[in-house]
Amino acid sequence: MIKSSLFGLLLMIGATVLQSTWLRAIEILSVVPDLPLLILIYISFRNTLPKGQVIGFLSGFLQDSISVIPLGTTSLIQTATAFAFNAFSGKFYIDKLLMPFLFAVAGTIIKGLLSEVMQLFFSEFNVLSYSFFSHIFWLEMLYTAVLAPLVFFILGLMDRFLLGSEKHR
Amino acid sequence: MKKAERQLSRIRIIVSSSLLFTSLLVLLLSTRSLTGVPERVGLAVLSFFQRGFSAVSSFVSQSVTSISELRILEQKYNELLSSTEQLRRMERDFDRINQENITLKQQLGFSTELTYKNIPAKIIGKDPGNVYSTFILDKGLNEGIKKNDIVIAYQDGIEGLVGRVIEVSRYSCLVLPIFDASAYIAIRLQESRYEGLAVGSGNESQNLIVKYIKKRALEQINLGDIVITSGLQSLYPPDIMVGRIRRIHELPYLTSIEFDLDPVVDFDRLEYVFILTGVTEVLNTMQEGK
Repeated sequence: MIKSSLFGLLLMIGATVLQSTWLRAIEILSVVPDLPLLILIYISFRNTLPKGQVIGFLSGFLQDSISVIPLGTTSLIQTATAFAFNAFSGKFYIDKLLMPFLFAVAGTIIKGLLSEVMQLFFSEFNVLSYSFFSHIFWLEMLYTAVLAPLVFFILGLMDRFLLGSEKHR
Repeated sequence: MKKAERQLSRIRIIVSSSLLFTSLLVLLLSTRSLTGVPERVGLAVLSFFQRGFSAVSSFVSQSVTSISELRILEQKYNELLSSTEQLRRMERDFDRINQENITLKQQLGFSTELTYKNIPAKIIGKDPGNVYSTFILDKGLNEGIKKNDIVIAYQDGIEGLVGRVIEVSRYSCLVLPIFDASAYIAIRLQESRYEGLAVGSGNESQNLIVKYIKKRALEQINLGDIVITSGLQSLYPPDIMVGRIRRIHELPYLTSIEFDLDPVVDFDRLEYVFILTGVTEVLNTMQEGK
């Protein structure tokens, strides 16, 4: 559990750094896909134990530290997102194309809704939410969803390290 | 079997609830500005990796382009040789004029021009999310950078305002750009000298909205007019270019007008900037001088 959680955390940190540096080279209209979200969804869904919540919680703090966002915001959003996907863990099988795509769409919507809720309470502290009418939200959702099958496939190759002693589904 | 499932479900709920509670607690503490240290530690850790990633990408791209650059360099070298001679002549003239200028200033009783110390810096990372617009520079406390230092950039021969430093770690700092929704700048119209307040409109449009300009200024304002910092009750020093007027909104229910401002700096192709340090000290000295 500890080893696979640490591996997942390192993967999330790597994805966050990648997203803030190299991934900017493939941005479309200033929008980059949410790579850490895909990793979080994968880990949360594939593990029956709440590893995703722990990883999302810890990596969220690091993400907040390189942003203007108040500390704790991303960790709260990521823990809640991980909880939502962890609740469905082991309930059904995922294919290689459609389910990753749908998971990414659902994940982005959950993230958007949670950020909207956060803004309601913390708007005076520079907590911004996604505008559901802006191109940023829809483009990010589509971009993340299109990349999801590929990212899930790569993560699938690392199941031994990400799932630890848990059975592969 | 059902018992095991119930137990697992209980574990999930307990772990998730405690983590959510901790996140909320930290969020509550951080929004009351009781923290700051964790952000700096996180910024230092992640910027270490960002510097590495940035260095690797710079090395690869520079290696690839260096071959074609060599040819261009040779051509430029020859051009530069011919222009050097011309510049030498100009330098002699410049020294003479500069000396004359100093003498004239002394005669008129002007104080010596105060300048800010500027530190060149490279953008090594941007906010990982798409909603926020902050970016990270490769200079920090080690180079004397402080919170609220001003960041400017030179693009196409123009000096423009970029933003201000909001967090500093040992080797890096976090910059809030002027178009961020939480950025406020005291501005002045360069031509008509009217004053107002520029507010960032967010990451999506990357422009600013200028408010509180008196209605009588309408006749003297044109699209494309330059807007500069006023330096009044502000962190920003005076006379730095902020943007150009793009659209004017005449609101009948208000006593003032508003207009949209395009920043003079193109943030999409921004790579290198300058951090102005000691601005507050210089501004205070100027105030005392007055």
